Amino acid sequence: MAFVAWLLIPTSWKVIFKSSFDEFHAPIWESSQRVHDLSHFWGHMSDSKHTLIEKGRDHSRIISDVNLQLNRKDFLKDELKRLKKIKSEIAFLENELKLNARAEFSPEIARVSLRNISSWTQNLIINKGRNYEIKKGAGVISSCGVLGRIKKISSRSATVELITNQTFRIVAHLKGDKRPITFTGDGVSLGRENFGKITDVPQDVSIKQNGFLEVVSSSLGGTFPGGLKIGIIKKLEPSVDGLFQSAQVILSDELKIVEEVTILSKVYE
Amino acid sequence: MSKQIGSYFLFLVNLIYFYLLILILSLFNSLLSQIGIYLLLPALFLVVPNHLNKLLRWSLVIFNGLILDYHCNLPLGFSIFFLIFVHLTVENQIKLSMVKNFYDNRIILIIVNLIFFLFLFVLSKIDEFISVQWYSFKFFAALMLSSATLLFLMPLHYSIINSLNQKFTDHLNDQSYIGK
Repeated sequence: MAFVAWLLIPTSWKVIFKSSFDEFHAPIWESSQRVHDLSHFWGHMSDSKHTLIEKGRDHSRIISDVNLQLNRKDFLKDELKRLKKIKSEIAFLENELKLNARAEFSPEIARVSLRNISSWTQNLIINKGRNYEIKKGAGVISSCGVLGRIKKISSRSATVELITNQTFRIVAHLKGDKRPITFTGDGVSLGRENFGKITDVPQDVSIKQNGFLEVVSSSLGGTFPGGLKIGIIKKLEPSVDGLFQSAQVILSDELKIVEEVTILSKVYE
Repeated sequence: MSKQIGSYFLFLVNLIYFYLLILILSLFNSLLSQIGIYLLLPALFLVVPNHLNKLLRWSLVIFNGLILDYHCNLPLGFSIFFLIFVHLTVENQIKLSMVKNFYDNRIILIIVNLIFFLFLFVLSKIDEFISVQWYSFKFFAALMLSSATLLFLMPLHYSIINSLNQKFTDHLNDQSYIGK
């Protein structure tokens, strides 16, 4: 009886319930991140004299580097002018040649407030949402390359679907080969092992013994710029239809420990 | 009348306790996920105070299922029906209140946890909503660690629920069991 009642509740109500829960929880995850930062701060407060001396030395090195950069200010200003001029020339030529406007991306850096990485779903919750004009479906990258895409947005947080999810599917390339292949997430294992798989690899592609091929993002999908690292493959297998090949992709082991991410919002020029 | 108000307070306090429990578990899982471990402890959410009346006990189980589904990213309703099913079973068939040994309770709850994992595994094979690639090593590691955590966490969990019981009810039994 209860089960039937549950089925009869409209999906819209369930969605509203879930999203209001998201809004409610965002400050809690955010504050937990702040507590984490604070504990780091207190941890450093009790640093030994030797550590403080080392940090002071590093700090003075940074300061001298800043001074060096400040001295290069005039040179960098000239360089900026030159680059701006080149950019306007490129835009002019594109316009003259009637090339399509290129999709460019504006970066937005966010911090990870919560990791929800189970066997059945792998998501990250970040501390920026609609308040930073982040859009659903935007690509997310980090120092380890392609990380995922924005799955859900709340007013002050967003959920990132990691590339290990089986629902995650994008166009990719093998480095140095412009033919498109399909990348799909393939779950996470114990430790820091993360997997994906690629299909539609042409038959003429092969891997040298003990070698590997790098899988990179493609600009064809429009979510990511081309050439960003996704992972590596070490072995190719013939697909079921015999026309193409497929392979398991070994993803970066930093996917689960990443603390800062960059959201790529599309800007059309 | 005051007894009824007491039981409503007990219900409310238990709601808050279970909510805080799932928040702490989520934060703990967030930390553990860096080494690929995920603890799933639905059996913890079955231990509801036996001083609540039937309606409030059921409401608490439904609430627990709801927060479990939300925080563990499970299909909405999965945990609710599982917890209701187990609650019904232990209430009417196993008669858990007859089990006087505390260790027997823990074993039963570990078995409940195991069944939850198996249900989830079966669901992932038949339902597209959570179509996943299960890596057997990770599956068994998560199962073992969850069971071990349950084993060590249960005494503390019982003592908290018992102390909440004692605060808000006049007539108390020695221990809190699942169901009546």
